[in-house]
Order: sequence, then structure tokens, then C-alpha cells
Amino acid sequence: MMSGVVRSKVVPWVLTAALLVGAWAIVKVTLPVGSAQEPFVTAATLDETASARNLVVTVTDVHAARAVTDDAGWSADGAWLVIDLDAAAQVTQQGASLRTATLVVGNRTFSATERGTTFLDQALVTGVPRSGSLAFQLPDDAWTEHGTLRLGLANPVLDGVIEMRIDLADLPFEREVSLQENGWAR
Amino acid sequence: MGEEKASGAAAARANASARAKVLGWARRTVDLVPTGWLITGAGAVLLATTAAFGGLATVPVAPAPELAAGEVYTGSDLEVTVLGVELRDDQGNSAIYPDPDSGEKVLVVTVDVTNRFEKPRSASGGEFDEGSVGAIRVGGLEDDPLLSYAEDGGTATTLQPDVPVRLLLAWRVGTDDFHDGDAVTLTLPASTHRVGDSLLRGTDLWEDPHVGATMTTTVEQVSAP
Repeated sequence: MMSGVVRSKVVPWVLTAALLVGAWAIVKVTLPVGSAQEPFVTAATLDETASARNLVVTVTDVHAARAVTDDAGWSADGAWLVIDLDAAAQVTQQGASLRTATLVVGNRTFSATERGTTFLDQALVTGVPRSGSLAFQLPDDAWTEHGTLRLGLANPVLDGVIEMRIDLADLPFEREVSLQENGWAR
Repeated sequence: MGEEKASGAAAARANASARAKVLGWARRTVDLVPTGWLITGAGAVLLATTAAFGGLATVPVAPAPELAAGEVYTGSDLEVTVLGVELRDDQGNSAIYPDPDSGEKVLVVTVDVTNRFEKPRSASGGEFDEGSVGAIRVGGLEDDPLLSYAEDGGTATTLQPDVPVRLLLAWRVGTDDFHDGDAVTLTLPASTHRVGDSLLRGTDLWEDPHVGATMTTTVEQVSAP
């Protein structure tokens, strides 16, 4: 008699609860859509060499400037974040150029400027670092937050990328900064 | 044994009659619902609502608003201010070098642009990015303009979020196509943003480009601050 009650009343409720908890757990542990394409991130700090799959980067200096100039005589006013860096390929020169250079500030994403002569799109050499500068033109209201710099090769899908946190609010504004000439790192 | 069978049969009969009773009751209840009246009523309400909103008449398309020179236009996630249209004999900071022997000229539209989307945007636009600055048209010219920075003449490719820039949109025109003092009409683009799915998953798309505003101005030298 007792076993009949257990079979007809208790078991269905226990099963229902177990299934609901299981469904909830699956929803919780499922990664968001697109996670399968996320790159592998290596965190970097200033003057520390960081390496991803086929990319080795040392960020040597970070400036904030009211104007930038390059060695070809180009100059532009604005609020600029200038990143000086050394970079090399690690495995192969094939397809190794620094094409991904973004800065995420809050919910906004900026890309490294294509103006002037910068290190953007520069071909990298395996094992021999080259140096140069990247520049980001930012709106004035972005300088109160922190930004995340992301550097990678052409397509960051499932590739290694290097990320560095930059506290924009802490950077003193210089009047003018010259972009490093692209060349071999010293 | 036989008695048990008989009582079993009696129970089955009782069950069957109980089921028939319930079914009959349900049928009678359902029959009480005036289905025909409901359908007719719902149809009438639908038709009346349609008629109230204009029936099958074509919805009049609101004409694109007419802007004054220097007025800020917001469309396609961009803020655009047209500063003027000028005709040049020389290249200046525009992206087009007019051949002096053939008498070509350059028609230049000067605009201030701010990208109000949260990611960088192509200035000239593209297959999946329609209605960007490169979709501005003037004086019936069909071609895409070439874009450069007014400041230094460098090629303008990317609009960074919330960073205002002054761009020159340049078209190569013939000697007699435009003259100083001509009245020309500009069209400013509008489009709709959508995030792509399947193959374009996560890609920002601007689709359905159309004219968001028009502006009439004269061809004359731009003296922007």
C-alpha cells in the first residue's frame, strides 16, 4: 500500500523537480552564443613581453597627447592615445601583420587610426621584433575611464590575442607626441 | 469465478455510462458557445479596425525633410552637418586630382560627421554598411564620392565613435557640369541597423538605405571655421 503511494505521488514530483533543476543547471553552464569563436587572451602589462599564438608584443610606453606627429611630417590635433610597442611573429611570417588593434572603453570600441604612418598593418618578422607606434583618436569623455587594448593578427577568431588594461584617467596629457618611426626594435 | 466476471462486466458498464454522461455534458456545454456569432463578430471588428486606419488605401509616404545649410542631420547612426558645396580647379585637400589639360573640375562637399554608433564605422560604406557618409549624393551625380580629411587631405576610411571629423566628399566633374552660383540638391542617407545572424553572426549591418533628408544649396566657395 505504502509503495503504491510512493510510486504514484512521490516519484513524479521528485522526477519533475530533478528535471527542472537539471534544465536550470544546463542553461546556467551553457556559454553564450559565439563563445566557440572567442580568441585566447593573454594579459600584458607595460614593459612586459606577452605572447599569443603567433604574436609577441612588448608595450614600451603609453602617452596621452593633444597632438600627434609622424616622421613624414603629418600631424593632427585631437585627444590621442599613443601606444609605443615592439612586436614580432613567433611561429611564421605567413599572414603575420598587426591588423587587429582595438581599444574598448566602456561600451564603445575604437580602432587604431589609419591616419599618418603608424605600426598598424605592419608585417611582423619571426623572432626579430620591430617597433613602432599605434594611435587612437578618442572623444574627450572617454578619458575618465579605463580602456582595454587588444592586439592581434588579421583575424582574431580562435587565434591568440594580447590584451592590456590602460587607465586613461591616470595618463597626463602631453602637448605633442611623435609617433615612433617603424623600424627594428632596439 | 463467474460472479466475479459478472461484477467486472457491471463495473465496465457503469464506467462506460459515466464516460458517456461526461461526454454528453461537455458536448452540450460546447454547443452553448455561439461559434458562428463569435466568428462573424471578430470579422466585423477586424474590418472596422482596418477601415478606421484607412482600409486598403496606400499609406502616403512622408517626403524627406528639407534641411537648411549648417543644420545638423541625424540618420543612419551618424550626425552630419553639411557646410557647403564648392567647385575647385585644383585638388586642394580633396582626394581627386583634376587633369588641368582636359578642364576637369572637382565638386567638393564639406561635411562635419560624428559616428554615434558604439563601434568604428566605415566612412565610405560597403555592401553591409549602406547609408554611411559615402552615400551622400549631390546634383544628380550617381557615383560614390572619394573621401578625405579636410585637415590634411589623408584618405578617410574609418569613423571612430563620438569623434567629430571634417571630411571632403569629392566627385570628378566636367568643365560645364556645374558652375559657381548653381543651385544643387543634396540627399542625405538613412538606413536601419541590425546585428547579423548565421554566417554574419555578430556583424553590424546597415540595411534598407533611403533618402533621409534633402538640402538645397548653391555652389560657392566654402568658408568654414
